[in-house]
Amino acid sequence: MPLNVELAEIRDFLAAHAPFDSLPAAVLESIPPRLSIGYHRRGTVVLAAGSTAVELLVVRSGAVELRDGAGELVERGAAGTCIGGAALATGSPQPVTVHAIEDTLVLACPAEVFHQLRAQHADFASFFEHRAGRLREAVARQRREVTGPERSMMSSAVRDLVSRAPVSIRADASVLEAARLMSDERISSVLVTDGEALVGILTDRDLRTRVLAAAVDPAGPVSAVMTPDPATTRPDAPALEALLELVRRNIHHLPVVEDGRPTGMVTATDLLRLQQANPVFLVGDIAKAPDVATIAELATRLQRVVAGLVRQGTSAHDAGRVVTTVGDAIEQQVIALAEAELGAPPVPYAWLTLGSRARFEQALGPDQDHALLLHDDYRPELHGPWFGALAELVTSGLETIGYPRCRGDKMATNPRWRQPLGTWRAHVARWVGTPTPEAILEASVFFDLRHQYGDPDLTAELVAIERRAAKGAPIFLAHLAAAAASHHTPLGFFRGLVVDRSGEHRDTLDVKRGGINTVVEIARLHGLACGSDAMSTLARLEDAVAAGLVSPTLGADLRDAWEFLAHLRLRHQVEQVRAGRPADNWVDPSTLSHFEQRHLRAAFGVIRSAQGAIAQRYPVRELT
Amino acid sequence: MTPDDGTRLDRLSLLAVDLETTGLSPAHDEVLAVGWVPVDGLRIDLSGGRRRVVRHDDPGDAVTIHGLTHDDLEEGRPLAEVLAELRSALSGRVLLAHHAPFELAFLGAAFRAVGERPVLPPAVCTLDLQRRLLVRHGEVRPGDLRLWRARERHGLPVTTAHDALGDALACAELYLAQTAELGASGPLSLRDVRRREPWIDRLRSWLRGRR
Repeated sequence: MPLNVELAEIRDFLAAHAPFDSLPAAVLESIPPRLSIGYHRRGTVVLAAGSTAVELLVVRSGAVELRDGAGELVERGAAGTCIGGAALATGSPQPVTVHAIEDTLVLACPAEVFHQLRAQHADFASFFEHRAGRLREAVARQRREVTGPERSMMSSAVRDLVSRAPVSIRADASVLEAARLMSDERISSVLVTDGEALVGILTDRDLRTRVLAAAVDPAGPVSAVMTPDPATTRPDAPALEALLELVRRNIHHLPVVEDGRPTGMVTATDLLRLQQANPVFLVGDIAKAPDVATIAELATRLQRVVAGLVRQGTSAHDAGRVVTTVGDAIEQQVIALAEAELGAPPVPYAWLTLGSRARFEQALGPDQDHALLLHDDYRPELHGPWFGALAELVTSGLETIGYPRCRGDKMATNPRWRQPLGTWRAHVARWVGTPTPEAILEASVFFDLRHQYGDPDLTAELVAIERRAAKGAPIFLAHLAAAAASHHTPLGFFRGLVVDRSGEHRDTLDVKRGGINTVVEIARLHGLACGSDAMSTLARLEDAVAAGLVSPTLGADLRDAWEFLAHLRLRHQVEQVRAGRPADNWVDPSTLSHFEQRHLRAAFGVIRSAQGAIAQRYPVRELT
Repeated sequence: MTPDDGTRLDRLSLLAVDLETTGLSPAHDEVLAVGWVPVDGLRIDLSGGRRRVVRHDDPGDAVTIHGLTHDDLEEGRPLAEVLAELRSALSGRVLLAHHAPFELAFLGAAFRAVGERPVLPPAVCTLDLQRRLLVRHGEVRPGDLRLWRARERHGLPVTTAHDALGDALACAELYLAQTAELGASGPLSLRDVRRREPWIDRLRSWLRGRR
């Protein structure tokens, strides 16, 4: 009997939703006749917490809400949402109550079919397993997806350099036609073809030396003045090989040929651009820049560097390090230029970098975060003007280069943050001793601090003061904990919108405030609590796990959540920059794939459980 | 055994049936295909879903509407065989259809055509139920009672399939939605949802008006 092709509609529906989308076509075809269909009116319970799940329900139309024992919203789902899967898979009672919030049609898959699918299809099975394991795979896949095969910067293939389709002309066309075509297309060379086959190349240089200088009639054929049978390269050839070919032959154009047909052109400019996208070259060029304008010019290359990193599947952690390194090089050169202008500093000082760059986690489009730490010999009336001028020169220089001023005024231009060590010591004592909300906010900025320029001993002393102060201050840590636990982490997505715990919907996802920052704060809290020297989020988490403050599982889950969110932001920013928009942290949830939505939900879940663990360890309830 | 009038809907067994025919007249037109799917209480059982094409040598123009090719119809099964299978699927069940008089009339004629007595079970009609639901909210406009419009009103997926099984399934889903709405204030039994002639409703509202 032919399969129930009449149930194609249901098969197609399943094929569009996880985890069924991972099943082979023949298996999908066999599922609909084994299902039944039920209906739940708005407001009724679809599956109660504590009950035994006997089937997997899949929302076909309508919407459901999942709430935990305390009545807190856990998830809101529309068509495609699976209900009862985790309980079925583990054989435990249904953990949350599922309500229909709209009239809801459900497909019901009997337990035996469910278990059979799990046994035979690993992707289907893993969908219902512990969310963190899935997140780890997602992080790996996230990188694989953008990259294709792993490639290092210098071993890019020729196909990565080809930016436009080849422009060609027939061999019997006139030289004049060829010149006009080149002019119209704004190209410096044109491929000459006979049918589909490449027979020659005509360059600007040929037009000059073989036509104009030789007084050849432009009405004559291209074939008479072209370079016949030019050197070519293949799309899969290493870019380095193409570069060597150009240098060896002293030419500027290399046609790319595949199966005898030209598919593109590599020029000396393309190869130069490849080299410019290398952060090592970029840092070197910045350190040699004679003025702020040159640095500003060089800084535009950073975006290309990041785009390259994303393309290669670099982790967000490593990409953050590269962006930080370039940012450091820029800041150091701007300070050096300012010093050269102002003369030697009157007393020793340290230029401090704060915030994400201090943690080696800089993204694109950050604003400035810095401060000045001065030697205790500092006398305001004598030395104030020099340091005031330094702060202003550097800040305005950075602004010119493309780093906006800090909206919270956490900059060296603010006299409050341009102080001798003694005053900083008092600041630290105040933050730790009198943890008002404002003090906690300031502490969260100034406890992520790194030496950038000047006397490193000064910075080391301040960092040591901070570490000592924080470790022995349980009340201060409890306030940091309360702040970290209080952030609203989204629940997930519902029809292209972000849902938070209150059930409210938003049409943008703030990846930074809604996720990344919370992990950063959690890591900072635990890092300070265990006296860790580490500054980066992942290193702090590692130290916290080693100190027994965070369980190894939660530590690993948090790392994955941070990496997933940070990578998502990185890609988002690269796309924005490519589209000519300023980079920000606001992701339109409707642009996220089902895959991304699902794993974001998992990442949010990990963050919420880490927040829950903090609320257990610290008396946060009494403080909020 | 045919369910009696007092059977509660959560225990009522139905068979949603849809016919593809060559036209609208039971006297002159013929059945091209039959689709059905069982409803057990509040569940549609897809494993019982069937579509049977009736063998036919000269199907006329209707083929273009239903997407049935001449080859499909020539490879179909004899009408008597299809009806026998339907009858056995209907056993112990109430017939469910959108505009049930149409299905009942065509099936009656078809049974007679193969020389059988047209014994047909009680029927529940989703068009009739939809009219009752809409009358509660006021005027019923033309078109409101059509299957896909009715589904839309209940937020059911708008699908593209229009073969006999697809429409039987669409009707079965509509039935679940309608009875959920009708039964919101208390459990219903077969007598509450059985097909009634429209004039009974009119008579009732007329009587209400006089009281």
